[in-house]
Amino acid sequence: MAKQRKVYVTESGENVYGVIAEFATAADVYHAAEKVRDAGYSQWDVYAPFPIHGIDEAMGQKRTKLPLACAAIGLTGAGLGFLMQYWMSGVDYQLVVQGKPYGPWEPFVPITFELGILFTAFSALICMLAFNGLPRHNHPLLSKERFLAVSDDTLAICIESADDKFDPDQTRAMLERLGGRNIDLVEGD
Amino acid sequence: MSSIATHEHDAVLHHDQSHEHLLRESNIRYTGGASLSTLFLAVAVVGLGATIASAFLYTGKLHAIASFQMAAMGCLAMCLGGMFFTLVMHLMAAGWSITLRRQFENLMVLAPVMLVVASIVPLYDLFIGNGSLYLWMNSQYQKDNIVLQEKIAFLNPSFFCVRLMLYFVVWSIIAFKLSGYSRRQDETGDKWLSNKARFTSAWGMLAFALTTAFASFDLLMSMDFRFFSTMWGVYYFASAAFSGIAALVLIVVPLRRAGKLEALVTAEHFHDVGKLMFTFTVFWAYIAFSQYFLIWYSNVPEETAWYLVRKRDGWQFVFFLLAIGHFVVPFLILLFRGVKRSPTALAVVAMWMLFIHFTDMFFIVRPMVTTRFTDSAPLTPMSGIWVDLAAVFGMLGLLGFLLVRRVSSVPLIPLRDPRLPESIEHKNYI
Repeated sequence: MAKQRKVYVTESGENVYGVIAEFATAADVYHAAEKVRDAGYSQWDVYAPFPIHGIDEAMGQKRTKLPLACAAIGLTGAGLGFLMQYWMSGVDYQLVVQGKPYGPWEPFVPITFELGILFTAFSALICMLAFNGLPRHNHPLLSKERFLAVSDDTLAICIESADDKFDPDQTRAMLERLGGRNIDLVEGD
Repeated sequence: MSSIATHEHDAVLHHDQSHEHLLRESNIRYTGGASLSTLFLAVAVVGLGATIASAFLYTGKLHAIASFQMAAMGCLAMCLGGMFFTLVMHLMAAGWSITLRRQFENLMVLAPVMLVVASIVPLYDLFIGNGSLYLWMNSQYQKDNIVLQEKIAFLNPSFFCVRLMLYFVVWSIIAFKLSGYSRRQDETGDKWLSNKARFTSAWGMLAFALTTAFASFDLLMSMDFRFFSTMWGVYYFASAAFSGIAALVLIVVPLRRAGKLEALVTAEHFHDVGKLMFTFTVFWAYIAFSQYFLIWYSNVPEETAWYLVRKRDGWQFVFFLLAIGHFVVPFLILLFRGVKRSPTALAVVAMWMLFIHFTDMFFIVRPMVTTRFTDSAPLTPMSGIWVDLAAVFGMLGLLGFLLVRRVSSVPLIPLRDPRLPESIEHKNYI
């Protein structure tokens, strides 16, 4: 049986989504991320208005499985494209074109390639959205006025209550130790 | 804050600005090449000796010169690949590849030498052999073949010799100018030499493209004067880039094994080299298929004849080996990130790429042994294969000998290139 996750509730009865802390510079948030990673948290994220090189390593993020999905779906698409053409002009409706044999592989290559690309491109987009849990209508963090500044001039770390290691007091204390400012509870599911 | 600033892997706050310790002599000079170059020379003597011996003892002159020419064109392609990458890196002002550029330059300066080697057979055929491999040089065809007479304005002995000299001059100028700037920068540290190299590369790239294309017309395509393909120049260029990047891996990985280039050529550089290997695998496949496809589709006899002899008598297996081995195998292997970041895995792939590159040259040149108008018994790919193997190993021995001598005589990287720090700190963020 799956381990029951603790549900934290605020005084007003709202579920706790997580704890958010702001950081002053990219370096601060980078090193804080390393510490959060080393503390063993897994359900958390770093929010920044610009890409921070190496932040995925600092967060200990695993490499995405997206390429595997793309390769599998793309090769399937290429194979289907080839089979479709072979069946159409080699089996179902044979025609002599320029004295060429029935179902030669040569003219099938461009469309096989195109369908491989098409399936790969669509699988890349759709699987990326699916893996990221997108599209979604709202996010608990968006109800925080201060959070909106992460698209402008603020860097933040939010540790979610969905994390097994999450504890309202200890997590807050750790973020404080790491130099986080304006630490706050985030309400919502 | 102090604990943050002293963090070991501080990728955000501080770059280590001093790379002086990486430029110590033991890291950037290769000195142990004497026995290796002797070994390569021995392989060259044995291999090329066996090829020449076979001309008189076993398979005949035509087979021997075809094998020799196939091997020479394969090695010339590797050197031209080095020239291409040197040119394109100067043109793009590439920073990441500075620590690799010297090895491309080492390949590049051997291009004129390999052109001389690749000119031996055509000149022999022109003056002594009476067009045994290069059919248009045959006096009989020059007299009574209507197709050849239409092409005589281009395919005639004097213009042919002028073109060979032109290629030699152009490649020598590009090679010595670019390697000269690079070596002078090692000594003076003058950063403006990078600009001069860039200027040279601008016209050099154009000259390189035209001369490479026409050299491939002259040295490969003209063997069968009936055949023509406008893709041919690009096809040979694709082979050059493909084999050139493989050759680079086989130079740099052993150097890393020998304890050189430590922290100068890292997994990050190999990752990008692997991407280039992948690129030119796909590029070759694109060009090779486009050439074959259009000829197959349009079905013009003087073009299809070239492929027809290469799709029978056992050559169809080489044809499909190329489709699988020159494209599918390296394509699927190089898709993986781990392969591109592992020097050992890349070296294995590079060896395969060189094998299949010479198979490609084999596929182009060797059927010419039977594509005479008066041929009798068809020559299958495997008949007398040892002559071809001897020629390829002999020629690789010769190229290896020249390369080892060159690599041990110059620093392994451009020591004072203004973009050197950028190259050392190069990192793939994906």
